[in-house]
Amino acid sequence: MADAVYDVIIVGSGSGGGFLAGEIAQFGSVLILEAGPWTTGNAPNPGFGQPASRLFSTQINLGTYQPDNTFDVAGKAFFSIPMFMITGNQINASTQREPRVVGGGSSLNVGAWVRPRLVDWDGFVSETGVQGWTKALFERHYQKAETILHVHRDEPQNWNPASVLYQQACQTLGIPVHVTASNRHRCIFCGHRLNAGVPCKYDSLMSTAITQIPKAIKAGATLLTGASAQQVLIQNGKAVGVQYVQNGQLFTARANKLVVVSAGAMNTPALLRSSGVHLINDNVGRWLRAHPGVPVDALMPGGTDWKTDRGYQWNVAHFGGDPADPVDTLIHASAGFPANTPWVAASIGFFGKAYKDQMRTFRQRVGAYIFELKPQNYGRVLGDINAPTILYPVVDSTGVLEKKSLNDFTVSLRQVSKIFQQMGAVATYPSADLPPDILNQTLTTFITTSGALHPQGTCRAGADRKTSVVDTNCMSWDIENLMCCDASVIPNALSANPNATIMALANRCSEYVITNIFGKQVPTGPAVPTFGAGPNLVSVTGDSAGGGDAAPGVTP
Amino acid sequence: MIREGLHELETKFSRRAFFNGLIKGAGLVAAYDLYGPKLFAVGENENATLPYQVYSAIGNIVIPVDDDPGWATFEPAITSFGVDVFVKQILLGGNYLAFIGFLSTISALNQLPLIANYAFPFLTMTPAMQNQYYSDLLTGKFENAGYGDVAAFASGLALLSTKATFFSNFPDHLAYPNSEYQVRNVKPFKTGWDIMGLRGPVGAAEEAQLRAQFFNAVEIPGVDPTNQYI
Repeated sequence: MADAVYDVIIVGSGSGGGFLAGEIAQFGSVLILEAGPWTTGNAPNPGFGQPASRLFSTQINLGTYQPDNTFDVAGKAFFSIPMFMITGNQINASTQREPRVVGGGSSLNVGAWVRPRLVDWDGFVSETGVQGWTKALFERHYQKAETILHVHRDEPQNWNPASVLYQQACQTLGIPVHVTASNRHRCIFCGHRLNAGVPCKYDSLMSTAITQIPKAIKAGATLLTGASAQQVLIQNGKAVGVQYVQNGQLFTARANKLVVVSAGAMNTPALLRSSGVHLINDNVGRWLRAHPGVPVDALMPGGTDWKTDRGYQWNVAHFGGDPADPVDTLIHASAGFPANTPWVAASIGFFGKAYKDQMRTFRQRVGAYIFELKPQNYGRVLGDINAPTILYPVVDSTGVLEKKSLNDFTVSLRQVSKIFQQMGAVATYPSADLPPDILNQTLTTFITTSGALHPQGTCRAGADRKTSVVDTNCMSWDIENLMCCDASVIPNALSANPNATIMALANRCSEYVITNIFGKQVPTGPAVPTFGAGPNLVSVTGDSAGGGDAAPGVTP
Repeated sequence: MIREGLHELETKFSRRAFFNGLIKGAGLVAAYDLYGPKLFAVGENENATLPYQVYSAIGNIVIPVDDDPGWATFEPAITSFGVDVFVKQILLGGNYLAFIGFLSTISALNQLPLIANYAFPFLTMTPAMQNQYYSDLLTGKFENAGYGDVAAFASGLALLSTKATFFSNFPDHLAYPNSEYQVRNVKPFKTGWDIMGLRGPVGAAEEAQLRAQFFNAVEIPGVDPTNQYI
């Protein structure tokens, strides 16, 4: 059988590849390879606002602590990659979990839409000299993605009560706090992911699986699920196709014009390593940046309904430290039932009835999550696409946390503790009052068991192939017709959850593909919002999106 | 009051020893692969169920059946999940070598009392003796005995994973395939969530109410313009 031929092959359907596909599919033939399933087994998406659309959410019905790579409920599958975080210790790994599912990372994230800090843009240039990556030039890409995904802020009356109090406490203490934007439009905080703390996206637009991928399919793109890319085919220095495994068989798809690798910051370098690109560019898989995270729980006094029995809401966020001299942490005030409670439960060093009594007595918990944004270290992705491994040494061989991270976490932890005290907290854990050695060990244990989130930079963009893998347009320095489009190309650590930047970047890449690969003109005019109009929300069969805004029993 | 309680527990069960054991013990698992069988007289094929029995016994200590359900209520599935899923796939990232190391070290916890003057193997102790022995492990009583780090690693990991497994709503932590709602069945026993006072996922009626509440919620488009940092 002859190999199928397309103009463009995109590996991965997440924030990068999925968004890109939605923008370029109308200009040529596009194949999207996704290693995971479409969550309803390729059934048509009933559309936005329909109860059955719940089945399209990757986040529902998962519970927590799913057996990685073996888990399969309603066709949902996850895969974890070991991340070794202690220098010299290749035994004890954290897990870096990624969804292998249509929508990729956008199906897993919590819907917090965070723009980078101003300092990040300077950091891109100073790190690799990449040109054109400026706030001004990216602004319209963010705005377009925000229009398509209906990025918004919720009015405080819909916030969790603890978020309101958290904001008030910050104001009292003089800490600038910002309202967190999200693309989880009309999330009802139903608690389906209660134990993992992440809201489902019944009606939200977080995932490309219900926004850009259906749009791409309507425009003629082909989506293959369960298709695990094995290598990019390279002939005479040019990417000409992708080999992938589907149902245990090896297939080849050919690309006339372009191969885009959008498999995420861990799998993109792994795939390039499987394809031999690392042999000619040693930067492949290097320069990994990530955000180690530490949850903070507070026990609150009784008498108030803190909504601890419903989903996670990140309504406000702030940067850690003094406003005049912020440290490199981003703190999301979570409120509601914190995701970390099982971890806190596990970490407190006592057991038996005493622990159960604590749980019974102090059910009123709120939380915050501290991300350390810029540790002074780089990690690396090794292995190949079928067995990637991550080295991310944030703890030295004697068990001491990297110096800057330790300082940033300590300062931020003290600040969060003060905020919780201002809110009336009875106690916080981990406590900033712990003796320094024990605090270090506590932070280290949290970090090394929960991993570092938001991996970036493993195929970074730059001005020189000696220090980067792709150029400013995300095209490979070494292989013709090869593009990377995901968090792997981000040159330096973002001060933000990377989802927003990946989608803005994907839109920027789409303009390059439309102009330089297809030789067409980028459509002008404002982006069309999915909210209300619904052109981006179409079923696989091409029908409209179930009435756009319609909810059951509500006439649109 | 809770601070005092925590302080009391802190002194009783040293968290420093616990965390120290986790960090140091992790690196020593590799060494155990070489010397463990000689040291503790536990062969690889001696008893495949031994690590699960030890883990189960620790689960019973950590989450006892008292006024409400505990680890034993959900046996044997909870031990299987705790070891094969939580420890292996979550804590150890699917690392086979590390998992074998964990099984070996936790098996060794059964024999360790014999060389530490406890008179009985762990599994044949009375519950009170088991509790004392496990407390001794966590408080680092064996730190200077040469094998304390290995023992602390297994016992610490067991503590971490049994708590996290139980308080993650086992066995209702996963919903039924293709179910539209994650319905919690009526059952004769409580789960960890019940003990923590969590209501769990919504049913159809409450969902309809929440949808009505949020459907016309006022939203402000875009990102926060007052954020001077972005």
